[in-house]
Amino acid sequence: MERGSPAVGSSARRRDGPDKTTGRTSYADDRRAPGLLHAAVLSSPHAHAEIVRVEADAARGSSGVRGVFTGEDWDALIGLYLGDKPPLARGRVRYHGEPVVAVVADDEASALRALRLVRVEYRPLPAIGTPREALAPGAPLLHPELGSYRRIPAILPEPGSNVANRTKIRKGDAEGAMAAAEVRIAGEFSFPPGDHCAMEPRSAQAEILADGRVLIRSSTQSPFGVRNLLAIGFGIPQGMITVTAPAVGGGFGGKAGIQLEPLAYLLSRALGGRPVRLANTREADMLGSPGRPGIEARVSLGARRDGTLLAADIEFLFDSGGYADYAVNVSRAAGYACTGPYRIPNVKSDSLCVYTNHPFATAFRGFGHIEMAFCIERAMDLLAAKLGMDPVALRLKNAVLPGDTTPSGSRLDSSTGDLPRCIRTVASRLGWDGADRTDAIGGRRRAKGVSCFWKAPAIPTFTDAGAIVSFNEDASLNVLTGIVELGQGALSGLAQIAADAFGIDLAKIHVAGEVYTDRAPHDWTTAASRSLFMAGRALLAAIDDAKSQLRRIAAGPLRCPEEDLEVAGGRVFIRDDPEISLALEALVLGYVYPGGNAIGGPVIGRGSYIARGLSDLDPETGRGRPGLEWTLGAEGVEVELEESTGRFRVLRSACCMDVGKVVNPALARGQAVGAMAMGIGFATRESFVFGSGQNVLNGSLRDYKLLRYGEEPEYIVDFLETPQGDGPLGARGLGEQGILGMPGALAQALERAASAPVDSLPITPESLWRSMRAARGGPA
Amino acid sequence: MIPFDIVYRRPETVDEAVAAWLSNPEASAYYSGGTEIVTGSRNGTYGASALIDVKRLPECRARDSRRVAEGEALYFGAGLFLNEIVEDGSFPLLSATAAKIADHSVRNRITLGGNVAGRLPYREALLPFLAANGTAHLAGPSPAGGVARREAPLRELHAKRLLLGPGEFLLGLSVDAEAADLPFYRDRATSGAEIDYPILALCAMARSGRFAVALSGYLDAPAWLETEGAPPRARDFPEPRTDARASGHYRAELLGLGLARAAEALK
Repeated sequence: MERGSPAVGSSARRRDGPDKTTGRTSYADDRRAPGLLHAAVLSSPHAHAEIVRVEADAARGSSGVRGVFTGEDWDALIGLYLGDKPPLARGRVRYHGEPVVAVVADDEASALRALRLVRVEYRPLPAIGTPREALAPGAPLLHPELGSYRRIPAILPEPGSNVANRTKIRKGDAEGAMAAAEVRIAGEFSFPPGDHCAMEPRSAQAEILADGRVLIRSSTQSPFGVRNLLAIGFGIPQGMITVTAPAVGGGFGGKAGIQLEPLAYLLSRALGGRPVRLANTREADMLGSPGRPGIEARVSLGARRDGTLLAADIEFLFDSGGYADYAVNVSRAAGYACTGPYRIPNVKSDSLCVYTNHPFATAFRGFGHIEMAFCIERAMDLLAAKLGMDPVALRLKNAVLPGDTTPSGSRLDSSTGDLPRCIRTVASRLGWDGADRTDAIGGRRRAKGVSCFWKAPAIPTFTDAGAIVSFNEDASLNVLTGIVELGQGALSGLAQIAADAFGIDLAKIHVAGEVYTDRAPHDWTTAASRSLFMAGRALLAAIDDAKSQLRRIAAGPLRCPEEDLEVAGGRVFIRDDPEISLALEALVLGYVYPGGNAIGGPVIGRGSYIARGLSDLDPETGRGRPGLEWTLGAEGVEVELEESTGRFRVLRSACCMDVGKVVNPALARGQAVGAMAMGIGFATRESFVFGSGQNVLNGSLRDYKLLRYGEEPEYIVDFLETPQGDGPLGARGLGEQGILGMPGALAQALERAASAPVDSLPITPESLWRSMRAARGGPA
Repeated sequence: MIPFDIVYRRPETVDEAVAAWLSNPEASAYYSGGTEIVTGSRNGTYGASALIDVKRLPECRARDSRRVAEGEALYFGAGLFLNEIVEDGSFPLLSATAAKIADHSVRNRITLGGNVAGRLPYREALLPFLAANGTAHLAGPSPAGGVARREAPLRELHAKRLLLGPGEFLLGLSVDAEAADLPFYRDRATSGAEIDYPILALCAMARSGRFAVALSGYLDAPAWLETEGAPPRARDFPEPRTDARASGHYRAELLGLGLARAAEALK
């Protein structure tokens, strides 16, 4: 019988590759409903201002215009966890780029022409530029109605302040342990907000059919999330909303929440249900739609003289911008992960999500763990310096091991990755030879830096995934899940898992590419590096289910007990007498006896997975089990610095993470390297620059620079495979992890090369030059 | 998308181009590459709605050596794409400078004229011509009717922008062949990313004891200085700008380092 070629563990070519590289893939904005109307949005030029008056009559009278709308037209407040944002600004604007007026017209040009006729009068208000300013006594309240906003119980805003959420960790006796520690360090670290800059800007189309059904097509990572939030926000039964999520051109968390869909829906509703398209320009995608948060942090660590960590006292102040969106959960995740992958028995931490007048923040690759990692890794380096200890040795000494507990008190079990081996691998790859060594070559200094990271998916305790498997006449499989293809190759990975589990050729697995919420099984969201894990588990269950149906159908014609049958290699056969068998083609759509009687079929396999054993956090201590599976690792860089100018290059970058099982080596390396590149961009340039009024100065790609091919280091990636007991084939999530340690590793390396402190991002030639001058006693 | 209608005309001769401009002076603009125009028209900072495409005029596409009073000059048409100039190589400082503007794909579309006559303050393709004391070749309406052509030294023609008369446009730039061959020094610094506007772009040449330095990204427009005996120093230039990309202090530091390296290289 045929034995399928091994699928898991091979770098099988991804199915969506040819269409994507030839420009044939249909993204959200590439299909337009007939009779589509186009919306254009006028956004605020101010970071904080009262909206005094909107003059829209000239726009309303402009040719082709169907309607002009402002925030006064609706009463709705939308939010993921905290309902704080009107679809168009009401009363005041809270960030540069906030949508204020929407024009809907027959075509895009008419909408844009009419938009230029709208006049808005603003009264600028003092703008808040940092979380500390927002928390200072007497700071303006950006959300005076905070106490009245709808929210989920896990989010704890502080009405009467600019705090949208506070997550506390109180583990052990941090105060006592800190006071008793032989060595203590304290540091302050910060960086501004920035943007995802996915290749595809966001777009949404909304339509309401005559029977009241709402159709949404959107570039979203979360079709079911969008459906649910529209239902809750506008009082529509979930079953009356269908969200279509086609292939997405990069999400990175920016499309994981609810974005343009509420406004598109409201515009369609105002215009009799006609289909309305709302699509971001690049500038609107950067400013109007959310980016990633900034942070101001204080970290204190206490340790024994031999480097054993005893206590941590941490404050994270997340710059969430004008609205809270996902950032309340980002700050929460940073809270319960606050120590990084180190064994610290006594922890006091407060992680706050704070409103400011910056563009607002949503999920971003790393989700609180990248912000936390920068701060903790810098603190570890301060400690290493004070101890006179090699930073790699300090990390090895304190690296978490099975049996240790997280800041939330949840125990790391036998499915914990081998962090010490990750650290040693990275050190070895980079030729780490001790902390003090920097090589000088012709006016340039080389240095290395190593950091550690960890992350578990930051997901609701009830996160779920489902899979449905059906068959075609040729016994090929159709796989239906709620997972969105963002470019991460999740669908290819699922195909490999299916081929492996079913024992047939990968070419016979067809994974559905677009997600339609009225036919795909429910799935929480494609984010948090959990898609392969959870949909993979559901898929394995579905395949098991299909196999048991096949055994039941075959038992009759093969005249044997079901339990004697095996399904593999395209056949169902008696395990101990394999020549007695039937081809799958004869069974998947039912078995037909000679003479014509038919039984069984069609075979439909179904599988579900829901997160196991997760629990809420205690609001006072943070105790609970929020993380499903922790993927740990280490990474490092080698840099070369020109001391006179601060100019530097990243020569090499190494990463080693313990992923449980590598399903597709090429895709896994692709995810790791892509994340490492994003981390270099994050640390060295991809940040907003603000003017004195907190308006963004670099809100377009002419001024906001991403890392490019040609600027990249040599990447060295290693994976370890300590199995994840509850993962599909022992696999753990890995999509985000590569970004997490890059800012810390780069800061360590450049600080070493410059012999001058680096405690904020972005690290630029000028910032290094200033730090070096100050360290040498010159004017800054 | 650009939300207003544009009349696009592609004249075949200079006379046709000038006549097109005269037919609608308020709304007309000559253009060749157009990359800045797309951005400006999208974001509402540029509104010319009658574009006259001059990049294919023979005078704008020409790249030749021609006899002039002082000897021989190299002529570069304003419609040449930067990648063509990079590959040409007859004026090495110009090729090296052009090669660092934007990125390879965009250099297929940015033209010499567009870069030099555009509104963005960088205009790096101008620097080699300023350093080498090159000449601008212009055409425009003649008061008597018809077309007037003229030549002007670039150093006089360019202050904050090219000082063009109404309806005038750039046909090309030329440099004397001897100057094109002189040893040079160039450097370019950005705020971090290699593909970005410069915070300092510097071109320097030396000839018989005279040093010429042209800068971009340092002030609010390109600038030049020529000195005798010793190269200029940073403080001979006006105070540098401070902006979102870099502070004036850092720019001044880079200029000092750049001029020292130029002096060393051109000894």
